[in-house]
Amino acid sequence: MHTAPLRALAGCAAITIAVMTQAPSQASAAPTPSGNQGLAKGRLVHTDGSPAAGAVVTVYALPSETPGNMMKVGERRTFEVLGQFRADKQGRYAAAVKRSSLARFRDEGGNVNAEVVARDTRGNIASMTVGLAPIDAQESVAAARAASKADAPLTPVQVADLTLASPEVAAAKNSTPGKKVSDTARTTGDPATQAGDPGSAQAKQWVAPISATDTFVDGAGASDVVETEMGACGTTLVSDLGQRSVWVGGTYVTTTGVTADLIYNASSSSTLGVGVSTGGSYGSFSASGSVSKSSSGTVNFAAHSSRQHAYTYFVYGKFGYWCDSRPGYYEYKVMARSWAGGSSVYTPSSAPTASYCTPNSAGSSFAKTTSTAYTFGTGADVSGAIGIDLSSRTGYSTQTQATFKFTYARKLCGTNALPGGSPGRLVAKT
Amino acid sequence: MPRHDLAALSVVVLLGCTGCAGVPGVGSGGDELTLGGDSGVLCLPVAEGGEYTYAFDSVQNTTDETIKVTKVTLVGAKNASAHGGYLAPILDNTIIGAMPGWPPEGDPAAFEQKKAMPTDVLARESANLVVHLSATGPADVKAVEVTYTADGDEKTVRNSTELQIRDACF
Repeated sequence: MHTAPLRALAGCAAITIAVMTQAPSQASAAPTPSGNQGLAKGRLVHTDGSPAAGAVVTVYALPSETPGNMMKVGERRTFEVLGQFRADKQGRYAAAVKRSSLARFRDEGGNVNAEVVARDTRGNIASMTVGLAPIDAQESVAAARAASKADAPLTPVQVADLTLASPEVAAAKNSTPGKKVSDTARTTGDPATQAGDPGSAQAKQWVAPISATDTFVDGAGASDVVETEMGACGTTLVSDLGQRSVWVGGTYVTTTGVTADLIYNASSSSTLGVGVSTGGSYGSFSASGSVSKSSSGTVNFAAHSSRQHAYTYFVYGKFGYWCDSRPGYYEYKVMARSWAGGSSVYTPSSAPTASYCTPNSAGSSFAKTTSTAYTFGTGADVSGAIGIDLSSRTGYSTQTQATFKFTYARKLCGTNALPGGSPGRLVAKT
Repeated sequence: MPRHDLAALSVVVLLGCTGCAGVPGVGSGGDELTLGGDSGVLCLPVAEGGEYTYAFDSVQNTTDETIKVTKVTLVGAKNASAHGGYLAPILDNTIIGAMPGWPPEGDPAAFEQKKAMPTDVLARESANLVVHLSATGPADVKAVEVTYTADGDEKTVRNSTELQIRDACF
């Protein structure tokens, strides 16, 4: 890898920057396409932990691939800049742009995927891939009022502290060692563990959704906008990793008299982990940010009275990231490109521990229609290509829901909280 | 089971607010008292006597001060009304639940220990919200709203589960 850092980026072509307006301060006011949209916020630090005051954060839009518009291996696409912002004295930044400026970057499901790249004057860099999914219509009045996916408010994200470092080590500083599902577990055919509890080791989340009711949805508190000349940067599809199975959800019934049903409808959004590597070779990848992708069809998993892990398929690819100011790729990223359809289910040998319980009467039913509490750290089966599996999180929503029907009086229990709250996964038991 | 319907004095039924149901944070809510979380839809079969126990949610006091819960309100109620609001202890991480009939089948111990509103939720404590409902046949309740007092201000918070009462749920 060439060691000439990205400090040279500061001397290239001028880029038009979206001009910010005053952000509305109340989340309850209905956003409009002409209003602002918060993208990402977080904090930048140097390798010694001190705040990276004054660092410039550039947010690039990632290419939106659809089944009819997929990149070919070797194809280059130049990133477009969504906005540039300056971190404050504590190294904090909050990136927001006009919501209307995002329209041409949305995919079929309304998602916008972006690359947050921070740079300081010493040539240090930090980057993170972030996926922004449309806020579910059930979660905010503004989302319910949105005329279409194209103008729906997006869920902004909180990015974990990013460390500005030389390009040779920046990827390692801003990622977590990856994990893979053991070969023993794979003998069952289920990418989840044999224990049926893939959530036993929740990895660090570099990117987390911000509440739909937070004022940052409308861009409140955005950082100062700056205009800095940057060289052109972009991405090249290095290899097509094909269709990979991705965890959609788990529903568990450990008693008689209960059926569970999971539906993954068209436009369901999944948050899928990204692998990053400086060199791009097998075994060199680690877990970093995430992208948001949507299905364009419906998968209705069969109702069952047992335990079920449900999967669908996404096309993955390995991308090389480049800037005109230096030769070669400065890092490689592996991520989901588009939904491929299809489904598979497995029966794990046991259900996860679920201790927060609610009795349900005979003849009743309960459908969980939004839930984003559970991330399966190794839910995307890509370890055969890069050495680690990547994460997946599919929240239940108006498009995705789990339903339990009780023929007999039984308990329904959550792994994280009571079923009426944010339960994580649900287990029906005696 | 004696009817603790003095609590009915603290119950208000609001009709015709279907547009705002199930939306956490709508209204004058604070975050001192949490209720609900992810959205859901619960369906109960119609009860012969038309009475129901709705104890599907817990409230949690997130502060270091005692919070007084003053009343419970039905939001977007159709053919349903509330006759009392209570808070019950949560025993072994299990709440009373929702079911046709009042009192609930089996008279669970936690139900016997319920306190009628207005009542307190101690600092950092949780309690099971118990609502005595009646409904004339099929009915709907979009949300349950709890009114409480914190820092001298009256605030509200809603649950995130919609209740449907149907002749058959499936």
